Amino acid sequence: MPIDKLKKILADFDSSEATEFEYEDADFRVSIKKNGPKTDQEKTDYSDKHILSPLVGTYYDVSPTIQINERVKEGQSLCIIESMKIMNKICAPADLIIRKTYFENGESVEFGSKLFEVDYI
Amino acid sequence: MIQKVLIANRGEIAVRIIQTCRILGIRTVVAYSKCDKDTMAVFLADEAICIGDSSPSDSYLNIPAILEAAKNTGCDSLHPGYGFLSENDEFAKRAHESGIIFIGPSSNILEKTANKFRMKETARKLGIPVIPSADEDKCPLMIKSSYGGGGKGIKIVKNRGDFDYCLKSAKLSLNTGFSGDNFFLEQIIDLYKHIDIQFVADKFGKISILPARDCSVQSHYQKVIEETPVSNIPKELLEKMEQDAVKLIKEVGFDNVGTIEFLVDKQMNYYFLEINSRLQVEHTVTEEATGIDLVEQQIRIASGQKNRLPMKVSAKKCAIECRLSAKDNGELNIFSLPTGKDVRIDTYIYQGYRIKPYYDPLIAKIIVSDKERRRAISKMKLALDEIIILGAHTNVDELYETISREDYIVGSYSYFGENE
Amino acid sequence: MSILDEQKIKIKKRNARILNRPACSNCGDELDELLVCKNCKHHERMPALKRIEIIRKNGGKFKQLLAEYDIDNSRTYDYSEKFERDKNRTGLSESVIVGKCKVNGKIFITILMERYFMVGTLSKANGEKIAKAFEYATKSNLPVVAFCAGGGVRMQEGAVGLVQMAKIDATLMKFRKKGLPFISVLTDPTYGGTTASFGLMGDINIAEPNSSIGFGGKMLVKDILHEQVADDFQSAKYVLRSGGLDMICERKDILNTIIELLAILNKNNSIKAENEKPEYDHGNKKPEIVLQNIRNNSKTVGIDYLLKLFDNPIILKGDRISYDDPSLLTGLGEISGIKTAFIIQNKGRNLRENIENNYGMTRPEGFRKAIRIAKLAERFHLPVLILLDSPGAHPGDVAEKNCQSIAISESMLNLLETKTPIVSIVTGEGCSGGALGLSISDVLAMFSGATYSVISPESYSAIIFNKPEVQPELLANMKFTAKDLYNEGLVDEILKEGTLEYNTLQIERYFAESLVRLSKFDMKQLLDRRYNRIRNWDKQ
Repeated sequence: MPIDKLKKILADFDSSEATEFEYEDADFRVSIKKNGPKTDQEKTDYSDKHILSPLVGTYYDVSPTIQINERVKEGQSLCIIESMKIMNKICAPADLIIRKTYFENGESVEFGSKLFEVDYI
Repeated sequence: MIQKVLIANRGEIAVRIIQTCRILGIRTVVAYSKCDKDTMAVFLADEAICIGDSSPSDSYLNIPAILEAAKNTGCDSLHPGYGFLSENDEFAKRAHESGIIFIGPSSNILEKTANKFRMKETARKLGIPVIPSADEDKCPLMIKSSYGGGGKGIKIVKNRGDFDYCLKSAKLSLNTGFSGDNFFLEQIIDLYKHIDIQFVADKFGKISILPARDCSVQSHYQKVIEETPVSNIPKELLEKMEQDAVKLIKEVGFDNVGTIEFLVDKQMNYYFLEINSRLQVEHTVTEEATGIDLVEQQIRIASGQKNRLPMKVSAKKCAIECRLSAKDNGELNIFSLPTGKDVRIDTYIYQGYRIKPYYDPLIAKIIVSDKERRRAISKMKLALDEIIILGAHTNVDELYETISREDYIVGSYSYFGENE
Repeated sequence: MSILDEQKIKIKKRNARILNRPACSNCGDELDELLVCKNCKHHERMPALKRIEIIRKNGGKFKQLLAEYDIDNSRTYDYSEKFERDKNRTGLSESVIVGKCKVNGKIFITILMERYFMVGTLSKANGEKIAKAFEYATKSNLPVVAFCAGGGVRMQEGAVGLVQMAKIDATLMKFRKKGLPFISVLTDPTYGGTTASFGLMGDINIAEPNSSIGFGGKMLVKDILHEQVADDFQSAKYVLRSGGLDMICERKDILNTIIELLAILNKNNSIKAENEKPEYDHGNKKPEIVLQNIRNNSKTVGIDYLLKLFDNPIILKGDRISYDDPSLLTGLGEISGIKTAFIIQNKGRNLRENIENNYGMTRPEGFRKAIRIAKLAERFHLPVLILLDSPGAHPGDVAEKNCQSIAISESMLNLLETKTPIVSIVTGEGCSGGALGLSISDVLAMFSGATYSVISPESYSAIIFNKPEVQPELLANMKFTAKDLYNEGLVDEILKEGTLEYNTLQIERYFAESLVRLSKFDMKQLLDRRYNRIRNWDKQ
């Protein structure tokens, strides 16, 4: 593939809304992926693989405490974050498996703190 | 004396507060929004805690999140800076209820002073001249919000027909933490000067008046260039304003650092404008002219200490401040910043910092001082020449052009800046 | 430029703004009354009305013509808002002003374009005006000087705007047929329809420094074609390099240059008969000495002759196709009161010049430039003086790419029928096609120490004997000295040579004397004679 042609294709890809590009011929292959748009307004509470805290507060376990490798159903409470005497339940956004926990009962969390590492089912 | 303070603000003022806390040996915790993680204050503070998403309502206006953060980090006090929740009486009350010292006036004082219209009435009853009110049919007039600040919630109505539109517009422009939508109407003054009377008052009733500031250079009702002391106003007029200021402070029972603002018209009449119950952006010129650390005064008074300043503080120097603002959001390429004798820069920017679109565009305050005003102006011109910042456009050229004006150099400039 | 330099310029511009003074857009410094920067000589754009003011200030006269063609079509094509705005800000009624000028006794029609009026675009109204201007000039036998500016065709008028280009060219064609000069001054910026119709069609194209001149707008090129372009893309220097301009001239000199050009291009030439005859030298010279002198770098080169022969030569550059060949100097000037065109092969005087001038090896673009100048001379009844001194036509890749062989052949064919007297003199080395291409003349002379060969002796030696060193017996057989060529009847005369001053005088005398002799013939006779010379070159 002549370099000018490749440059032009990359320029077009860059300015388009496509996020993946693959090309293959007899003597050349290329595969590119774009990062998602960098915004600060990304959804912060539930991101891939991690459940993040949506507020500042104190972490409390639910009863019974969530265990590692436990299967959790969508909507089930994972923990409680207390802020100014108000108890906020943090619930699973979908069916998932808990892989890691990060906080213990009574510890302080901040906005965006990683609460659990999960695998979505 | 307080031991650990939560700084519920950002940008240059957060850095400013950290500086005084360091001097006084007070530990600092900065509460920051998600996108402010990479800021100078977060870097400099002893601890930092993320309280919410980037939008101000999720973070710097989020009362429960801020109080929770103060509690969780073991702070005994919090400093609200300026703007955001700094004049919010509910915030001050809830802090007090949580056992956290609010560095500023007590919440009951804040409740009184938060309502501009009410304050106007209080002043009027004390015999202090106030801006005459207007009614809808007497245009031109000015619409003002009872709870606005920093130039927001103000609209000029030129014709009766525009009234409803202007009112709506004024309501929309309020997006800070002020609640309520009370508006009142005032006649338009043939404005000459906008004067700040800075004062320090403690919980024991001792009031000190500091040199007045001339804040007449504005843009869209926001101050751009401030200076102290005030030139081209008869001494007697200034004294009268200061006396009226003391009267009002006593009446309100104000118990921390604050400012009373007056307007002076071209016929040399003065009018009480409003009371500011917080540290102001331009406190810096007063500090440079007097040598007093006003953040320290706030902290001491909030800690219950006595005001040890004389009743009237005089200016030892002339000081001028230029507010450097960004006109767009970009990644800053900072090549050089002002330096030299009597040049002070209050800022939070650093090489490669990317300006966030959610907050005030102020990126630095340039303050110069000198025994003579003309010399200070020369220092400021050089300082502005030294500013080489690429990546975002700034108002540096406009600042230079303003201080080069004939009327600015002579000091006779009247208020200008609706569209400048 | 360092950050501090940029900051300095920014500050200068700001200070100028504060004082309400116009500032140079390049370095922020003060402008003089011609809107040229006093510091860096950057030329700022000049409004058309200001140009008229300057003509008048310099003692010239300007009278507006054809104002009745300033028709307002803005409502028809829906751009009346912009039209009104530009009328107010420029004080003009359309983007073109036409007038009759008189400067230093020279009268000409001038077409001035205003960039700040609808971006100086061609419209139905001003297209007709420009066409009428050429027609007026044709009828009145007056030259035309155009100050071009603008973005091309007025898009709002659609195809109607586009065809103005053709309309103007039609009237230009008739104007040219009358043998009248058209001088085009390209100012900043000149684009699109203006450039592509008449802007670069002057007999002489002059550009103001740092003008942007081009076909397509930079945005078009960058954003639609995504092409990376050189930093000086479409700058005056770029266009000069690409062979499109005769010269770049500073604003302060433009009026004078125009007057000088009009003085030469006015078909009034007098060939005086009282010139001294040149001195001849038919003596024998040893070939190895001749060769040694040629190879000796201190021998004079083309530019030396140029500067001695002409007091005020006007150098014209570019082949109007792709390039300006620096190894060939062409232009106009006066020798002994005779207005003439010159074509002078130019080697270098040192290593740097040699590299710049490709050691004097003429490129195809050089031959094409020569043809262009010969045609210019033909149109304005100027004789042509050709001085030959070159190691040969360029044989390399750049030359082949541009069809060197075709260029040489075309040069010969064109010179053969150029309807004006041509005098060729070999001052140094005449070698192969490089010399022959420019030896198609009415008379051909050589300096006594000059050479004329089919190939350089070094190359000959390398090919035949496989040795780069030239053997003396080879030299004798090559018969390349002036005497050899004279004996074989291949050249008309051998001129005695000496110092640069003496040689210059010889050239002047030979040129004048030849022209007097040739003036006996009318044009048909001259061409027939030239044809016979070349047809029977080896039989003389």
